[in-house]
Amino acid sequence: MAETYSVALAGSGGAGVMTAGTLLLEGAAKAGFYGLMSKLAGSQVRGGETAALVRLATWRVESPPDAYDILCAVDWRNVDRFAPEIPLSRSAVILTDPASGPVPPVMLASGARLIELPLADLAKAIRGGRPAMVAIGVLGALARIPEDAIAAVLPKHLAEHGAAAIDASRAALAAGYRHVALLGLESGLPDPKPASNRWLISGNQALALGALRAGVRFVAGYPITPATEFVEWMSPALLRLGGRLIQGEDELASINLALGASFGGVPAMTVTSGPGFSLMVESVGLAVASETPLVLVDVQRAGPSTGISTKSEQSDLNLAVYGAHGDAPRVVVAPTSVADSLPAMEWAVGLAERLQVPVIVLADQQMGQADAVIDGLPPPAPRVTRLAPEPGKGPYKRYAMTPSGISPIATPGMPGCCWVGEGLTHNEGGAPVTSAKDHVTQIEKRWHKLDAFDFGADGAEIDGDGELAIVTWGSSAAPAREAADRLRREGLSVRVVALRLIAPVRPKQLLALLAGARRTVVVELNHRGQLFHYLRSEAALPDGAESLARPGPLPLTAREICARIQAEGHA
Amino acid sequence: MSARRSVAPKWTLERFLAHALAIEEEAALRYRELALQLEVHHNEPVSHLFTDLAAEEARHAERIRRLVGTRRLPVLKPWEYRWKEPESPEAAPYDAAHYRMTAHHALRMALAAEQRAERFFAAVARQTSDRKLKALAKEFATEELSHAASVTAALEKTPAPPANWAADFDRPIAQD
Amino acid sequence: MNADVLVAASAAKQFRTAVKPIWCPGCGDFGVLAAIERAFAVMAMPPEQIALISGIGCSSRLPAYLTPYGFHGVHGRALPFATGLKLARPDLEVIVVGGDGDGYSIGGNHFLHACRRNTDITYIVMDNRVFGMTKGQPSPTTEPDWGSPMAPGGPDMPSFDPVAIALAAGANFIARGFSGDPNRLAEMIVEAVRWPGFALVEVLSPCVTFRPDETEWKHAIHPGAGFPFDDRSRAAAAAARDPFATGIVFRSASRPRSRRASPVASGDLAAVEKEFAV
Repeated sequence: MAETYSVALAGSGGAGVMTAGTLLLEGAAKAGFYGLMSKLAGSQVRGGETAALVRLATWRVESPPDAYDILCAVDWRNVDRFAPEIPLSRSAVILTDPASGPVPPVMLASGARLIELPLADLAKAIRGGRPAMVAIGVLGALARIPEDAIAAVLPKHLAEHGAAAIDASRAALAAGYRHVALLGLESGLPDPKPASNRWLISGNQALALGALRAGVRFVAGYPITPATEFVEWMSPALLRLGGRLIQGEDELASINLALGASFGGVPAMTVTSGPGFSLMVESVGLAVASETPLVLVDVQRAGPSTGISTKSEQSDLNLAVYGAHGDAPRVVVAPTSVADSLPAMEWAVGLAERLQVPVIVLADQQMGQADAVIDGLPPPAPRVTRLAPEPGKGPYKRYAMTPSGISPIATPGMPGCCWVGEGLTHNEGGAPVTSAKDHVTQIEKRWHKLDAFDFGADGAEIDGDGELAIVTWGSSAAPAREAADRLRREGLSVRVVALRLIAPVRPKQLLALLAGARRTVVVELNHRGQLFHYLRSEAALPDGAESLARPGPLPLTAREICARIQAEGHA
Repeated sequence: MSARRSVAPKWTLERFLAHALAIEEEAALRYRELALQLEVHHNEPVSHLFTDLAAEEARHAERIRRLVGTRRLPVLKPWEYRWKEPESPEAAPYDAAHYRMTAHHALRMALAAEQRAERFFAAVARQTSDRKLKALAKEFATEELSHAASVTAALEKTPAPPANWAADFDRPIAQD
Repeated sequence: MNADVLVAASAAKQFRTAVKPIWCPGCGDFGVLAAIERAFAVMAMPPEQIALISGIGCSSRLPAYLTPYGFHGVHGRALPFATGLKLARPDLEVIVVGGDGDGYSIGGNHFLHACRRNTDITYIVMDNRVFGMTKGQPSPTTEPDWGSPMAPGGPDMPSFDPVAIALAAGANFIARGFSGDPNRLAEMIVEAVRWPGFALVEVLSPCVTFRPDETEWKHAIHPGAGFPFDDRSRAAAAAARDPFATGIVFRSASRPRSRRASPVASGDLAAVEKEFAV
């Protein structure tokens, strides 16, 4: 039986491929499968070449497959551009419509088997029928998803196109299911266990929902790919909960809008991608210096500069950890999957509120714009509240020294404890000063409050305790874990340490997690190993640790990680 | 915005006393502010002089309070006073200060203040037909003249500033 | 008795902190400081209900000198900070203070959009037509021919006209004041704070150190004829014709209200999460 079943559906000019992929995934979810869907697109806003990539399994799958089992094309226009992202195995099948012309040579080079699938003809036989809907029937049948499961989700996604469109799609779906018998193929996925309490959610939505669960009620942002779905979902959701989302006139406004709301006592956040984050960096420093809680989500994309807005990378770590002039320590959190995006955001908001610090959340396009089937969540944890001043403790000092480094923070409106937040170096009372003693005191205080804090076990997800240690973060965690499973099946003993807390670095704790490993490899998707160098500079890695890093835009796969570990290693 | 009054309300005793009290209080307040400004800028002699002037004005204010007794004075908004200049006559204008100003400059400021106050009271005396009020206003005007005379006497004992009194060999320093 | 008869005195007592202003003696900002605290005293606003937000510059030091809550942020970003604060906390009185460099140069974009957003905040700009804190560079409101080391011969471009731009960007309340007349300025500030939406108070406030020529302003200042206008083009023409005319330049007759306060929750988290259930 196959472990996972991966299909790619391509088409252009408004073929409806993305919707089709969503229907397939959601139908599969209804039937009890787990799955992940990513999307590929050309640069056109509409009508460009697109592909929906869907990976299905009976276990929670969150990384792209090494290779796809089926490539089905409604048409082949510019699909060759997607070739590097739709690797095909030798046992793969290419379903091609004879009416759409020859298959691009680059696809054929994989050695995949070619089978004809007359989508256009099958669709034409149905009034209003669309080839992409027929394709979903075929792919659904091949994946052994009950037809009713996909049929059940048609109305939700096609409602805006009217009842006729829904009926036509239903008929097209059925036609696809009927046609499959003629193809002589099978997926080999085991039957899923009946499931209850599953969610289908994108990474961006999971981040947004996590923020709401943690009490965020003010969001400011500026439109930027690939963060846009976050604000699109967040805006109406916030309104329902009595909060608001404001579009700033630029990113400089957005982060300051959020800081203002936070100063007013309302948990607040902003969301952006690399270019916007670069703009916001000065105000990250302001949040650090003034000790104002803030969450800043960076949905990373391929950089530097404008880069590739629709592709993923993990190359903003340096900016997240170091960005801002001066000694400006902050917390950096990185969710390890779509599913983890929700609890990671809840954690990030709580940390910001408790530690009175900006928390950067390093998400990325791969997780952000992917839809995943995850296990449903329990109700949220109790919200963290800010440390409030106690009455009758003498004149209030906003930046008073305390053993933890965290000062009580008064909310505007509270009488008797007015304070003025400061970006200038200040004394305990908050007045601007230039004294060496106050400068050093406040710098040490802001470091100490992070360094002395017990982040607990939430700082890393550990999988196994083997001799080969893979350290990783963000969306590289899923393929790293799959790689580890594969290596274990080949007899290696492997552990995976997926860091959720990137900063402040915890050298002692990390070295303890890596104790006993004979070889340590840091796996990440950026050019020269930003996490690797950061950890090494802080003496948080054992001697001889290796970096396994390359830039985007193609995601890491388990196969690639295994191959590079085995090639470079003394395993 | 307040309507430009075409007809000013008639002077009453209470309204007059409110103005008189404001004159002394705002003078004291302003001199205290200037004293602090010059202290921050390390011009101690003039800072002390302003502190002394503030104390003197505070004494004048106290005298007027005693005169007011238990009378209820109207609470006027800052823009409702009938000053001829933008500010109360004895509130030395902020722009007359300079970090290197000398005692001579400060006393000239004080003299101008007393003279403005005298003109104010003299004008009230002219404007009102109420005999008691007229007499009181004249009395206050005379009082201001005597203040002016003391300041003039002090001025005569104070050396005039040298021509380069404002010169500072150092250039300004950029901050934030 | 008559203890609080003097607004100026009670204002100073209630609203002045012990932090000593660093402004040069002779600075116009002292007059603006006095005007602001007198306005607060007249309106009987408790300090804890007020927040003074500023950027960077001499005039941006102001919040530390007054007792209410405040925030001294980074250069040019006070308006969005104040907007976020007011939207999150509509119960607070939010006042933004700063200079012409902070507000019209680096802060220019935010100025445009603050006029559009019409959030219920008051923006008091202390305009001295120079970057004072960094030693005298031209600012957007500097005259085209005012020479300085940074721009010998002058900026050689038309100066930024905040009143004209505020009018074009849709601001509904625009006033022009003078630091040498703190009492009239206090009256303007009261009206601006009470205005239900964004209110701009452009204050000519001479810089004694870098613009000693501005000491002449007090002779040029006078109440504006025909003020306030409720017609934008007439207001713009009058303001441009006479840059030393003070008063409420423009006040929209329709008084459009600022954004509504935060919406009351109509649903709960469980309802929001249902969307994702398979």
